Amino acid sequence: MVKAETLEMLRKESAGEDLDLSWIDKPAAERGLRVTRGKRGLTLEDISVGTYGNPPEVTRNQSGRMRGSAPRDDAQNLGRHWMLKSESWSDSSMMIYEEALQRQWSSATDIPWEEMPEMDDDLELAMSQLCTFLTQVEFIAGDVPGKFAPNISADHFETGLFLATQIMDEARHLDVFRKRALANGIGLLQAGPGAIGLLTAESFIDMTASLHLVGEGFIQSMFRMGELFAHSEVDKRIFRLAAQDESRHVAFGVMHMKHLLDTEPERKEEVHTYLDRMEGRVGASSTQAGLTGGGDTSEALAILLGGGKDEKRLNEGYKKLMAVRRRQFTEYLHRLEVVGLGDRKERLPERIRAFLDADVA
Amino acid sequence: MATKTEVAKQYVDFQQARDFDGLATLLADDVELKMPMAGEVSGKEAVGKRLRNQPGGDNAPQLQWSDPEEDGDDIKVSATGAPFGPLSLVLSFNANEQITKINIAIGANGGGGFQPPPLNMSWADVPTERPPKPSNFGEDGFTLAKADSGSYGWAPAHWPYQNDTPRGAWPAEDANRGLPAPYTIFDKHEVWADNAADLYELGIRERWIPATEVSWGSIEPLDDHVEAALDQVFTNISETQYNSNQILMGWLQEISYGFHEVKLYLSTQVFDQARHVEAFRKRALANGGGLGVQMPGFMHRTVYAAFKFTELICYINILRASFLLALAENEHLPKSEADRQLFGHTANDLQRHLAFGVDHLKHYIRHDTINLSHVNTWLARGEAMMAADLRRDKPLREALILGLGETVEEGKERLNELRQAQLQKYVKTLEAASVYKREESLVPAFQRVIDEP
Repeated sequence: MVKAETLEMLRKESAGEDLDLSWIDKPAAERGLRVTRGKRGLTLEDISVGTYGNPPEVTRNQSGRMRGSAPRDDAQNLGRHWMLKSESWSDSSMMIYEEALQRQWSSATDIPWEEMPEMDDDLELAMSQLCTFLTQVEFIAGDVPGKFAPNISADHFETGLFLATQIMDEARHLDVFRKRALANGIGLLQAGPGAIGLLTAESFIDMTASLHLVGEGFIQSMFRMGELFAHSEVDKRIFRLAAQDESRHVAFGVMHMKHLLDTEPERKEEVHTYLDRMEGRVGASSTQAGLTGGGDTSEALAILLGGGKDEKRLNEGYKKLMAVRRRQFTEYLHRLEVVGLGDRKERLPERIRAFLDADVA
Repeated sequence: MATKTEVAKQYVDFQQARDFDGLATLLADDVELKMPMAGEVSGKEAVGKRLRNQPGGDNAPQLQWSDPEEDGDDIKVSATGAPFGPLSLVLSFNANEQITKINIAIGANGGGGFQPPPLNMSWADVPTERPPKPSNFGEDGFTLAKADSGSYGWAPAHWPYQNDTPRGAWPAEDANRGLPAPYTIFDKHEVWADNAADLYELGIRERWIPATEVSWGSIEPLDDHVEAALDQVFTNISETQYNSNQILMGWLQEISYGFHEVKLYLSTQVFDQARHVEAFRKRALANGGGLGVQMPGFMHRTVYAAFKFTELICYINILRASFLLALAENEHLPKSEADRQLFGHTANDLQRHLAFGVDHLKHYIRHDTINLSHVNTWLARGEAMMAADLRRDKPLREALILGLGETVEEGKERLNELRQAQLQKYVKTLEAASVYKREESLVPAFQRVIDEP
């Protein structure tokens, strides 16, 4: 605290007569905090201590006042911010925000483009088609979180910060897959139905269920198997780096869902309905089928996985594609178990449930 | 009586139309259904129920079926477009050409495994441009500007596709384009800036990490009132950038896919702003101080209420960024190496934000003679709201006085200089954007708060 005599002295200085200085005496949170750096520098977790480290479960802060700063009576009410912490909070936000900053990469300079080899024509065509699909859908995963960002209370600002990193990551993905398609003489090919359906999410939890648990999760599983369908070090590096980014996005969604279901278990059935929709159980066709399994993408993936388009290789490619799909579903199920939806295995459409047991590895 | 091939065709058509009553008319009473992923059922009623609930996978309307082919006494059809790769459908018949067995399996050759479907590769034949292979990357690497050569680099005045079709790709047929997106901005002049692609790459090259790239250990204890003053300024910056960041993120879903350079650049800007939010918060908590008082929020409200993208840019990339940049460039406020690094990095980021704002305004104003008038309307609105904030924000005013000067008198002089520098930055930025002589038409309240800070 600033001593009263210091304030009085300042007011008595030349030109100090109009100073009020009452704001110095009215902190909302504690002063005198001396945060200390950890091994990873001065992180958000390091400063989330004392009264600054206690995000309220319910807030009436509609003014954009940052958590821990003192309120004003005349602050504008923006009327757009969610009041409940459970609506958007993820315990992982602070950690993965910092990780995202540490692990940023550049599609321009961190990919060894100069080492791009001459590829077999069919493989290059297939890779360009796959990248056309990926550059099409990747930034939808930036548009969707952006849609909800204006609603994140400044009392829960860490969520907003994480979303900004996801948007940055998805920009890089749009960019790197576009560049890849343009890097070896083929260019962009056939666009598909895309992933606009993800923008129909009407609540944050609807978004984390459909985008993070399903969409990003499936893409993450696919990228992590990039070694199988990438035929050059250039491509392998792209998929490795992109998978790393997707892991953070999935972690955010998993931890948000877990927080919600831990604090509001009565919303479990609601969450199931979002997954029902994504799994194609409510009549409309499943968005996810278009996301990772459209006909053009499947064929391109099969060619890449098998190493060519002749019958033998294509057959092998489709077998591997089945293994990729199986892993996508297996990892999806694991995410469901982590968030407390392990019972969903019994609710999965039979075509998915049986697939988990299929001998396709 | 229809042939087996014709019945098979009817089966596929009924399934795609989800007409299960029609489909049931094709089945024998003792029909058997075998779906290796979902087990076996028999009897017309049970099979009908299963097909109704699981019509060849839930995405039947998306499947592309081949023409039926005879396979011994059976009829075989294969499909692509399912989530797991190709599907096969094998139908067996009784003497009345009623379906007695339905065998749906993964793989084009049915239960026999994963034989490939007929090779299609129509996607490889689309007439998109074949770009030259890039070379001579240089130290900037494979930039967006290098990648988007030829027609790939040409952004049309109006983007014609309502979904997420990438620019330069061959658009899907109408029936296969999925949902039209909620994008509202399809006209280039509403968002474009010629430097967006370059600024995107620059934003990535110039990224920094507050946790590890600021010399937090260099901060020495300050007099309590000076620390409190600095922390009040940091509180304002953190709050301002959170507001800009939130709203800008919300605008991404308005911008159609044809202007990907803009979406990409804006992603770097929201990433920058997120960094500013946390970096200045960290600084406020790092040296025995803490956060100060919130802002009045007239500008926050105005930013939220922006109806047009260019309006938003006037507020956050021109007005706010000019004022914050002049503050970040002030030599009297930083008291430590960490402070100088914080302000230095932030200033660098803000230079890019200003550059985007300048190029966008230039493009927008060139598009139509009435647009300059729109810009002036938005600038006047922004000036009035910023004036309202500054006039009411006693904590910020007094914090700047205490933070800028060794004495109150000196602080007031330097606050005066700061306000003039901020005004000059704003006016010069507008000149660069082809908005000339704004200093002659400033909102009076704004002029007053500059002249009498």
